[in-house]
Order: sequence, then structure tokens, then C-alpha cells
Amino acid sequence: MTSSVKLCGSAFGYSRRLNSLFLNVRSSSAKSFSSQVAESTSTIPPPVAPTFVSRSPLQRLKGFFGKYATALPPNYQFEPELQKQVPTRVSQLDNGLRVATEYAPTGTATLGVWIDAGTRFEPERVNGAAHFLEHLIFKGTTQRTQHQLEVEVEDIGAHLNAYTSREQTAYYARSLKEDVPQVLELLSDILKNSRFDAAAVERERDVILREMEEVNQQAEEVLFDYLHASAYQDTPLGRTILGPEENIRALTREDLMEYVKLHYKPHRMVLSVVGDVEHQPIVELAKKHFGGMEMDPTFSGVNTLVSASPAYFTGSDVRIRNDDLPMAHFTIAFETCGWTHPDTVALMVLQSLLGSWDRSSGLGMNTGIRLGAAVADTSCQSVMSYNTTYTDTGLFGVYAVAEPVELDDVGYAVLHELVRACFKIEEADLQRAKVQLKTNLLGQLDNTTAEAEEVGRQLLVYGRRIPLLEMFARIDAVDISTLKRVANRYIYDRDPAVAAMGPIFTLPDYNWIRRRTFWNRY
Amino acid sequence: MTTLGNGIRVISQDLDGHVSSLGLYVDAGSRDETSEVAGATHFLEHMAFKSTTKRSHFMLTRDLEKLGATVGAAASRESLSYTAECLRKVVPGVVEAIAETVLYPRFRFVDSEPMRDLIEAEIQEQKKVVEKEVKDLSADSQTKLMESLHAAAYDYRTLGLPLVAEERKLEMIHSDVLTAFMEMHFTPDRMIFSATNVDHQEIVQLVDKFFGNIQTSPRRYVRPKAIYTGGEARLAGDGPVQVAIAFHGVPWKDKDLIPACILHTLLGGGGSFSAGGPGKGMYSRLYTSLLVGYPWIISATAFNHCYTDSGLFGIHCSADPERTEELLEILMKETKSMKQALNERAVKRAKKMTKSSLLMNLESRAVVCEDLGRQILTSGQYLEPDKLASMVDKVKTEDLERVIDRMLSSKPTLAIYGDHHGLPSYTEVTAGFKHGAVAA
Repeated sequence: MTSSVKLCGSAFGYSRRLNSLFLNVRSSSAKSFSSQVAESTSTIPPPVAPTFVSRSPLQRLKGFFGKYATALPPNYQFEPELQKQVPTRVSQLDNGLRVATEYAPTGTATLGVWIDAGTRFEPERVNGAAHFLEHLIFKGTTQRTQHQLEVEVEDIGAHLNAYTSREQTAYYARSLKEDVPQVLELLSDILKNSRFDAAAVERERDVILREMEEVNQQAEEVLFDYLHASAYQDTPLGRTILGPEENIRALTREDLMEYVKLHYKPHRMVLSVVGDVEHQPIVELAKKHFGGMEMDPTFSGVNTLVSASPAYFTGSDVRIRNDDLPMAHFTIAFETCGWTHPDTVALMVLQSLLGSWDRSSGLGMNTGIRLGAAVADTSCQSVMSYNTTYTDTGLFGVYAVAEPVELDDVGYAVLHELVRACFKIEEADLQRAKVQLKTNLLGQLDNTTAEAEEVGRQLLVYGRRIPLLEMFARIDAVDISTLKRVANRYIYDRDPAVAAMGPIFTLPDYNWIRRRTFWNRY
Repeated sequence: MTTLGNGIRVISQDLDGHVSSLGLYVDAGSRDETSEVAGATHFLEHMAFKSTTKRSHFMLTRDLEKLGATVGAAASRESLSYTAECLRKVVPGVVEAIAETVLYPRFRFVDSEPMRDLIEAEIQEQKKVVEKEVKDLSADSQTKLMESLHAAAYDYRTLGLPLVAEERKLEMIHSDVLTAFMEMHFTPDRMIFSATNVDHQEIVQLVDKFFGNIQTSPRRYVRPKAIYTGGEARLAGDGPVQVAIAFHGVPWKDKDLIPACILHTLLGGGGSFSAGGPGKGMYSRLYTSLLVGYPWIISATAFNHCYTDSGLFGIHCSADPERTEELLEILMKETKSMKQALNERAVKRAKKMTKSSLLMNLESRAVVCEDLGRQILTSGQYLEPDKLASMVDKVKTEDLERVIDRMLSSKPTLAIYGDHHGLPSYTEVTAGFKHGAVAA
């Protein structure tokens, strides 16, 4: 039994303690964290009042169990399989950068830098800068020209990639294990020394506009952008990742440099390495290549930024009607909570309970997914429930694609199933939801890249890697009453945000939808 | 690997993961269809995990959902696969479900008229799903082009038979057709059960329990040999023009397989606009010679389809329809001059990329499971990744040259989608290659 097992064993006895572990808390002294590894987390004393994390919204949370989930039964058995989980080892450099490694006997490795910086931290004037940067960072440094960089990566058979989301940016690479040191140096080079050549900026505008065209052809992407724009109107979370076309044409080298200067701080970065590597050598390499990055003495993090410019949810409705398209797409979403809120696990279970369904799967009405069975009789082609989470807010909802007839029936079925969770949940459905959620959680970590991303993301949003054993126990602690409470809190009689696109002339108006977020039962 | 008494082979590898991948591979695909059972494999793919003699579709679906298993089936030209992903502890229940759907689907055991009605209703239901899929696929010009390329290369026989059921054939499918195909091909000696993240002893016992009692049919099926003929297919259509030129490639069990894979990486290619950063093959031959040089070419990729006894190797391009003739010319030139791409640096890079992509793909338990099954299916033995990697290391430029010579000596196969007004005839194209081969 590793000590990470003890961590969650003991944690369940002390509800307040567990609660604090879930929060994104960092020590006030970066040094005290250095060379500590995740396995010994249980010996870390409860954090003393942090100086740089604005905890006000989070501090209000009291106690994990009782209110947020029922206690586990006294004879609860931890899954013996999960105790074999390879621990994630974490060290922190003096400048605040965290280095996390996880061993896997693959002969390869994924290494990347996950950064607590995304679209929502851009001022409106430079919306799109975070994404623009992602393109430009591969275009040459003071050490390497773009050509040299590309040839170097291709010659060793490595892959370099990046993505930008609303709250996070990632630069990562996959390579054979013997090339890890070289790739690590290369990653540090592009992060520290990128030139952002003015000519390259000009060239890249067209590439990004072209990318925009591609994205605009994907109905799902477009609809979720509209949903954010509407649900988070007048807040930074409502902006798109690519930014408006005028910005893509107007952003300058200085704008990008400014963004890097403000947000690419070592204490907001996690270097995550998963694969055939050992922890200590990676830490040494990280010290050598990333150690020189300038420390930000304020250690001011995402929570400060979010508090300064929080995301406010607005119940709203946006419709882009186009009768020439073959399929109607619509989504209905409710506001939920942020990453570290104790309700997040229950919401994950609730999402699994609602599930997804597709007509082409051939399951038809036979599925145990009630939502699927309910829409099987309508013009619906597919439904998918989702649970998107941000630092201080989240969206929980259902996305439906249907033939353009009788969308009221589809909408009725979707809302009925959403609100049903506030009143009746069958034990069998809950069990199915839990086992499917567990299988998905484990199943999606099918390669070093997925694993490295999970490590990077968890360290950024939770401040630690949550052991699977603990995650499973948290899932098992969710029961019907918890789910009902959560559904009542976020769904029942709440203003949803609605986004619809395509031939949507049969979709009823917002008040019709709003009326169906509650049941009159007498 | 263990071979059971009735001939079914079980191969497994434990990667210490929490989720198991299971797969049952049957050595029969669309190439084995006779005209009476045309479309059977594609349809069987859709009849997987439907009603069995032991459980209705409703019960089976609910039971699998309860276990948290995801199941799927896929038909290819040479094999049918039934796959599943689930947590380790529910593996027995999932193996049982796979056995039921493979051995005891309800349509195979129709014993009364009311039962027949039920079965035919279920089949009709799936027909609607397949029909929609066929419609969607035939709207996809690239799928259509590759189907036609195979048809032309193998003269509409064996590997040239359609993988996607034809709409008019679909009407003729009923329970007897499916049963006939299964009786002929679903014999234990042609089944392989592969699994990752399971205990080998345990999986052998399970397979023995659920598959052990079936017997090999006395009739031995002899698969018709695939004969590469070369040929051409021209499809009319709108939008960007697509051209594919292929040659007789290498089969799985061939000493030139590894060199051919390296050549495939070396040619590489991609789209003029594609996601991903450095490492996607930006300095591969097709990238530098076609995509960079001609901005009107939308995509250019090499393909290497391997089968048990044959293979297709070639280049697929899509481009601005105004310049079809020019595209064909460039593509022919490119194919003829493949050898010029073999400089030392490019070969070294291609070898390294082949090796790394091999190892990176095998990080995934699902890929390992498929790889185990496929290797046993095609060659009867399993080569460890390390062994394959060292084979890649040993390949020399001469090997690649030999493979190119070997391929170019076969008759070309040409498939064009778009407007082919004024294009050179197949005879002219063939003549062009003959001339080129001599000059090279």
C-alpha cells in the first residue's frame, strides 16, 4: 500500500481536512515545496494561511460529507486494483515551476508544459492573443530558426503540439525516451526565447483566419462558442478562443509579448512528463533549462485574476436560424460550479447518468440511458450531456442534433430528463452511471499524452494529482440524495442558457423552455 | 499465446492497466463474400451485440451497460472484429457477451415462424441504419475513390469486392444469408481472441469455457488468392478533383514489409492545411515536393494497404478541379522519381519516425490488443515491438530502392474522381510509366 492510499483512507475520517485538500492551495514559501513528492502529501501539514491565493469564495465551503455526499459505508472496500497506480511525483523549482513525472514502461514519453493561462485572461482588445501565441511559438527562437526547429523535431521522430483553451494553454511533445533531454531543452527554448518575428506575425494571420474557416464548419464548435457568448455575456469567459477577425488582423508583436510577460510565469506552469523516465533526472534537467526563468515575487495566480474579472452567468437565448442546413442543433445549459467545488464529483456522476445516445449506434430504445430512450421516438439524431468546468463556474447541459421537425418533442424529452433528476433517480441507473464514469475515467488515459495532460491539468486546477483510489471513493460516496440535491440546486427552476442553430423554426421560445425547468406536481 | 483444443487461438499481454481491451477476430471479410452473400460482412458488423438465443437485444444492451463495457464491431476486407473495453473485474461477463453474439446470434437459430418474424423485424431495423450509413459513405468521395481503386486493382474480385454493402444488395440480405456466411467462416480455427490487461491463464479458461465447445467444420474453406491486375476507375463528381495512383505493394508476410513502411513514412504528405505542429511530416517528400511547390494542391498523402497475400502502395491527391490534367502529370512524375527522394538524411529521418510512431501507437492498450490479433491473423506469429524496431534500424537505402523497383514493375492502378474530360487514357498512363521506369 503506497502512502497515497493512506492519504485518502485518513482523509475520509476528517471531512474538513479533505475539503482543504481539494482546494487549489499553494504554500506561501515556494522553497518549502521543493523536492517534495506527491506520495508524501499525507505528511504535509495543513497549509497555513496562504498569502497569495484569494480564497474568499472557496473558504466559505464547509465540510465535504454530510452536505455534499453521504459517508461511505463502514465496510467500504477500496479497489485493490487501484492501489497499484503508479504515483505521480511532483517537485517544485525555486522559481515556482512544478515538475511532475509519472513512470510508464513504454520506451517513449510525452512531455509538456501546461500553463494557467488562456483566453479569459486577455483584455478584450487583444482577444485571440493566447491562441495567436500558440501558433507563433513554433516560429523560431533566438537559438533556432523556424526551419531548424522543425527539422530538429522531425529528424528525431518527435511530435510537437499545442492547444489553447479558455483557461489553459499547453505545449507538449512526444518522443522516444532517449530524446527526452533534447526535447525538454527545445520546449524550454520556445517558451523562453521565442522571437515573435514581426514578419512571422504577418504570415500567421492568414493561417489563423483559415483555421477559423475550418472551425466555423464544425457545428458543435460554433454552437458552444455562441453558448459561451450568450451565457457569459459581458464577461471574459464569453469571448471566443480564436478571437474576432479584426483582432486576428490587428494583433501586433507587442500585444503577444505583453501577454507572455503577464501570464507565462513559472509559478503558473507545470512541466508534466509521463513515460519511460525517472523523476530526479527530469528535475535536474528542468532546473537547468527552466530554472533561469524569472520568478514573480508576487506569486499572484489565477484566483486573483478571476476575482478581478469573474464570470457571471446570464440565463439567455441565442438562435442562428439557417433553414438550408439539414440538421437542427441546439443546447440547453445550466450554470454549475468551479473545479474545486465539492459538487463537482456529483455533477460528473449526474452527467454519466444522463449519458449520450446516437441513433446510428443501433441501440435505439433498448438503451438504459433514459435520455436516449426518451428521444428515440422523436426526430432526434443524437443527444449528448456535458459538464464543462472553469475556475469559478461551469456549464451543465444537453446538446441535441435533430431533423428539423417537431423540435418541441425533442426539447420536451431533454428537459423532462434533466428535471427528472431533481425528483426520481433509480438505484440501478445510478450504479450504471457510476461504473460507466469509472470506466471512462480510467479508459481515456490510454497513452502517455492523455496521462500527461491529466497530470498537468489536475496540478493546475486542484493543485495536486488526485489518486484514482480517492477519486473512486468520492464517486462511490455520491448517492441518490446527493444527486437530487445537486440537480435541485443547479437545474430546478433555474434560468438556462440556450443556443440553437440551423433549421430551428420548430424549437419553442425561451419561456416555453424556462417553464419546463420545473414540474408542478399536485 | 495458447491454442485451444478446437483450434481457437488466444493471445494476451498484461500491461498492468486498469482497463482491459478484448477482441475476437474472425479470419473472414468482404473478400470472402460470394455473390449470394454479398454485403454480409458489412451487415454482420451491424448485427453484432443484437439479440442472441440467450438474451434479447434489450437484455444484452442493459447487461453490458451495467458492466460499464463499451463494445463494437468492425468489418474489413479480410477480417471481422468484435471488440470491447471494460474494467478488469468484469472481463468474464464481457467475454460471455462476445461469445454469445459471435456463436449464438438469434438469426442463426430460427426454429419457428413467429420467431422468424421477430428476427426479420430486427434485421429490417438494422437495414435502415446500414442504408443511412451506406448513403453517407457514398457521399464521401474519398471512400468511394478508395473502393474503386481496390476494385480496379483486383479486377472486382477478392480484395476488389466492395467493403461497403451496395444498396441494391442490401435488399437481399436476410437471416439465411447471414447464417450461410457464418457457417462457412465462423469456425474456431479461424478465430483469434486477443486481450490486453488480463491474466493469460484466466482469459484462456474463459475462452475455453465459452468458445471451447464449438467444432471445426469438416469443410475446409480455401480463400481465393488475390490477384493484382492493375486497372483504372473514373468517377464523375463535383468539388476538388481526387487522383490516386497505386502499384502492387507488399503483403504482411513479406521481407519487404518494413522497407515499404519506411518508404510510406518517407513519402508522408498531408494536407496543405492541417492541425499539429512540427513532427507531422513537414519535411516528408510529398510535403516538400507537392504541397509546398504547388499551392493549388489541397492534400497529398502516401498510402500503404497491406493484406495477407497482396498489397496496394500509392499516392492520393486532391486539388483544384481546374488543373486535373496538370495534377495527373505531376503525380506521375513524382511516382516515377521516388528514388530521387532517397537521400541519406531523408531515409534516416523516415526510419526514426517509423520507429517512434510504432512505439507511440503501442502505448495504447486498445492498439496493442488489435495489433496482437492482427499479427496472429496475418502471419500466425507475434513480433515484439523491440524486434520490429531493430528490424527498422537494419533497413538500408538499397532495400528501399529494391521495393520501389518491385512496385514500379507492376501495372499501375489509377482512380480519378472529378471531371476527367481530356485526360490521358489508361494506356497512355501505363506507357508513360514504362518509359519512366527505363529512364530511372
